[in-house]
Amino acid sequence: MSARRLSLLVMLVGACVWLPSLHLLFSPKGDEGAALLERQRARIEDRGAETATHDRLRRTNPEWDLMRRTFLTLALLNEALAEPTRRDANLRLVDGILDELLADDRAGGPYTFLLPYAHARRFVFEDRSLFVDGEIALLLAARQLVAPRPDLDAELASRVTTIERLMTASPSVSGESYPDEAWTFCNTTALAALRLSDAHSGTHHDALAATWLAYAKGHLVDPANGLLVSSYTYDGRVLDGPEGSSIFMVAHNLLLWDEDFAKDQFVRAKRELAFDVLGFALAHEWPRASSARADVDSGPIVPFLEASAGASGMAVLGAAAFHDDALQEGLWRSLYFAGFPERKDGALRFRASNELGDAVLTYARSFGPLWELGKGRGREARR
Amino acid sequence: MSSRTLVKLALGTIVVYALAAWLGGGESVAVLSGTVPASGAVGMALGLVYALAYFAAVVVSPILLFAAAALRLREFLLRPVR
Repeated sequence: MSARRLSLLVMLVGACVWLPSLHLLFSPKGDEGAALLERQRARIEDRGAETATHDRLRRTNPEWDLMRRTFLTLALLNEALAEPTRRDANLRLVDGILDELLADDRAGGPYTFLLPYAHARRFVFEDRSLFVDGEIALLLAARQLVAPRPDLDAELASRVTTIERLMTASPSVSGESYPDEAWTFCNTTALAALRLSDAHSGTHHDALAATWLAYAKGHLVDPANGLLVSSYTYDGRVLDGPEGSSIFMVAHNLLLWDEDFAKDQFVRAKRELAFDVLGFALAHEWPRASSARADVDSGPIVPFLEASAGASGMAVLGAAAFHDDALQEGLWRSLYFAGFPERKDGALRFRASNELGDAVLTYARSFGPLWELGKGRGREARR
Repeated sequence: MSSRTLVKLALGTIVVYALAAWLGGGESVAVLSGTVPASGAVGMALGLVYALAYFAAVVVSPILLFAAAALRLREFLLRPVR
């Protein structure tokens, strides 16, 4: 055997031993939620760092600035419910985030958290984005559900009324996130906000939720795979098919209104999008048959594997919400391998991610208490 | 390919990773999630080099070192008897 062939053979043997063992070096430790939150807590308390975070996210995508506040607030509130010793401190942080968010929204108007293309044309129904109203309503409702703050009730009621108006007027029972663009992500987030608001105030939005669900099941399911599509026009013409950066959040939101449909969507999303390579789990942005290309939601697509950072991050939330421990384990292994974790003084961040990605992961690790409250069991627990 | 060449390749990969880390590539590696680093295009390039060098150091270098060790062992076992 020639020296060249011999060295190739030995390298092949080495690869057969090393590659299947590699994942064993990247096990999650179980304390990620607390460690990630520690890092973000420190940043919120440092005004300079917080402003830099807003600027850094907005430079890539203004939506990320709002979404990061959303996931971080939900994580803080979940921890406040799960660990009573953290409650007061976390509520203080949440109030700081909420007050600043409401001030930013008032000062900048409905386009503050939208990409510039929102200015390209007019909203069909009204100059408001359900993306913005839905996420702000969700945070207000979650805050009120954990510990009511009387001065926020009017703001919450106003956002809830806006959501009702935007959704009920639409032929697709859906508010626009961008002009003539409705997003499943945003409409189910708005529905989640209504559910938490109902749990807080005793109101009922069952009819609106049932109407949206009936419309979605009838018009917004991709016949090829049974998954909800990501975006559609105001009158319901499909724009983008199912996407990994959307569907896991959508399924998580639907848990509050239709658990069977939510589970069905998660199972289908996992089957179509999640995959395992040598013990590392990842997610595609699009189902295998799709010909879609990378965009701002998917993030860069990893060549050969076709894995998406956005879809893989949101899959962590899906796996947590649906208690899929095996998928969670695999996804966290991938994060430790390819996310460039940095631990310092008990705080954790993933350098390959950004503050939004870390907030999603933090929320995923804390998932549970708020949604349990939202499902109606919370009013008793709060007393 | 000799065992010496394999070791050089493995160590070279690790040196490139260390150099990219020393130049601050770790702070720009958020480019992998589509985030634009504050340092702009230079930061993006440095972040990519850092990430590629890391993956090469973690995935490929151990295989090269294993192969080098195996070849060296073979040379030792098959050395001429004096």
